[in-house]
Amino acid sequence: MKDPGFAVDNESLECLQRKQAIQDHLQRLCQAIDNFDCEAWADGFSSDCRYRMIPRENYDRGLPLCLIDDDRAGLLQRMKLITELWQYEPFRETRMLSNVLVSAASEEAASATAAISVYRTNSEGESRLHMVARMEDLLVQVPGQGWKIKDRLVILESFKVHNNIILPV
Amino acid sequence: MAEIQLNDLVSFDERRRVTAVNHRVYTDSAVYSAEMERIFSGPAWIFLGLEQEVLRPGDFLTTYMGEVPVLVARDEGNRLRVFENVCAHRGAMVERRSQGCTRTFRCLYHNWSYGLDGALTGVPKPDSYPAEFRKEDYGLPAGGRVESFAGLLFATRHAGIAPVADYLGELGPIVADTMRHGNVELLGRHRNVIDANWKLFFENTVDAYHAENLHRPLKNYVVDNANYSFPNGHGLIRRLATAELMAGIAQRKGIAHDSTLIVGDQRTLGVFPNLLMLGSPERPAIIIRQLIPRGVNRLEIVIYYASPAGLSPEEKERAAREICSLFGPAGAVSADDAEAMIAVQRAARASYSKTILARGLEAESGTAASSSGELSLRGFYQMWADCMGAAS
Repeated sequence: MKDPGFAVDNESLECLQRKQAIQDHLQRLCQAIDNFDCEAWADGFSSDCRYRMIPRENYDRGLPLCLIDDDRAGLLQRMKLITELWQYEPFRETRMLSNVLVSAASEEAASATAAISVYRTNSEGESRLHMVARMEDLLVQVPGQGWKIKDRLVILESFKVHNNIILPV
Repeated sequence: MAEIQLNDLVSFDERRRVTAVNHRVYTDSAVYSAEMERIFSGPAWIFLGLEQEVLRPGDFLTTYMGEVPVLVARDEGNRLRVFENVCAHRGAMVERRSQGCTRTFRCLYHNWSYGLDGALTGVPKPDSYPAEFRKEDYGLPAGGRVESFAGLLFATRHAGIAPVADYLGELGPIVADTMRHGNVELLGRHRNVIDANWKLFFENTVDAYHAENLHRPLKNYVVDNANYSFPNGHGLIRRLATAELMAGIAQRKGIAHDSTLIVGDQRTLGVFPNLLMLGSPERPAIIIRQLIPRGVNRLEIVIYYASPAGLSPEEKERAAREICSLFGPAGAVSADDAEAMIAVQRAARASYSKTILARGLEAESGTAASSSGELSLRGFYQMWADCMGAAS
C-alpha cells in the first residue's frame, strides 16, 4: 500500500496553479500601473467590474463616500485623465504587494486579499511612502482571457492623502 | 517676532484695492506666526466642522483652530462648547479620537477627568495637593465662543466679534440655502495634506480664471460666471448653468453630452479664512472644505461631503459616486488643483515671486465682477491685510 504522505492530490495541484495564476495577475497589474501602462491595467478588470477606493475612516463609520468609485467606463475615463488630461509633475511610483491570500478559487471565480504600499518618487528623485492600503478582490475567469478582477475594494489606511492620487492601486 | 512690513507684502492701488501680493506670504515663518495670532485667534470666525457630528449631548469632535488643538462638545444641557484639547495638569492632549460620544473626557497621563462642560471632575489622590488647590480652577481651557450656522460650526477667540450671521453678512443667506439650513446628512470625508501654504487653497477655490485653463476635463463645459466679494474677506463665484445651456455648449463643440456635468445654480463660496463650499440647490451633493494650516508650507484639508436629509441609500450612493469622480484627492478636478498649488509653493522663494491680481479691475462695480475676474481674491487679501495690520 502506498504511503498516503506521498500521494499527489490532483485537485490540490490545480488549486495551487489557480492561486499562482491569480497572484501573478495581481502582481502584473501592479507592474502595469507602475509603468503607466494604463491599457494593460484596465484590461485586468472584467467588463462589468466595479472599483472602489474608500478612506479607512469612512469605511469604519459605514459612510458611503469613496475616493474612487468607478465602473468599467469610469476606469477607462480615469486612464484618460492619467494619459491625456491631468497636468501633474512627472513622477514614478513603486507598488509593493504583499500578504496575498487567495481563497475559494474555483475554476470560475476566486477571492483574494492583499496589503499594498505605494512609494512615490518625485521629479527631483526624492522617494517617500505615498500610501498603504488593504485590497479585497473578487476575480472571475473569462474564457480565453484568463483571470479578471470583477470587484476591487481598496481600503485606504493612509486616509490623509499626501497631495493627490493620480494612479489607482 | 520681527515686525512685519505689510506694505512690502500687499500692494494697493489708489482706491486701496489689492493689486499684487508678494509670495513671502507663503514662505515667511514670521508672517505665518502672525497669521495664527491675528487671523486664527483674531477677529474672524474659524470653521471647525459640521454640527451633524455633535447633535446629541456627549457628542464631540476634535480639530484645530489654526494650530491650536480644540475639542467641540455638546454638553448635558444641549449647549455647544469649545475647549482647548489639552489637560490642565501636564498639557497632554485629552481627547485623541477624531469624533465620538462620551460622558467624560479623561486624560491618559494621570487620569484627570473632565465633564462635558469642561469642569474638572476627577483627580486621583487629591489629598497630596495643597489646601488652596481648587478643582474649579483647572477645567479644560476655554477655546473661545462657538456658534452653529446652518449646520456649520464656527468658533472664535476674539471677544469683540459680531455673531456669525453678521460676520457672513449678505453671504449668509446663500450659505444657509446651499447648506439646506443645516438639514443635511454626512456622506463621508476626504482628507489630504498638500505641500503648499494654506492661503493657496482659498485662492484656488475662489479663482474663476483657472477653471477652464487648468482643468482639461472641464474644458468643454465651463460657462461664464460672476465673482463677488463681501465684507470680511468672503468671496463667491456663481454660475448659472442650465441643462439647456450645457447641452447647447456640448452640441456647439461637437462633444458628447455628459450626464455628470455640472448644471444648476452652482455656487463656490469662500468664508474667510478657512471654509470653502461648493454646492447648488439643484444638486444632491454639498462640498464643505475646512483648511487647517500645518506650517508655512503645508496645509491640511478636511472635506466634508453632505447631502440633503432624506435621500434613499441608493440616491446617497449615487451622489457620493458623482462627487468623488470630480472632487477629492483622486477627483478629475481637485487632483490638478493640488498640482497648481504645489507649483506656486515650489517657486515662491524666487526673487520675482508675486501674485498679480489686476484681472477684472476695470470692469468691477461694487461687490460684483463678471466673468473670470479676481475680485474675490482681492477681497480675501484686503481682509488679510486688515487683520494682519490690526494687532501690531
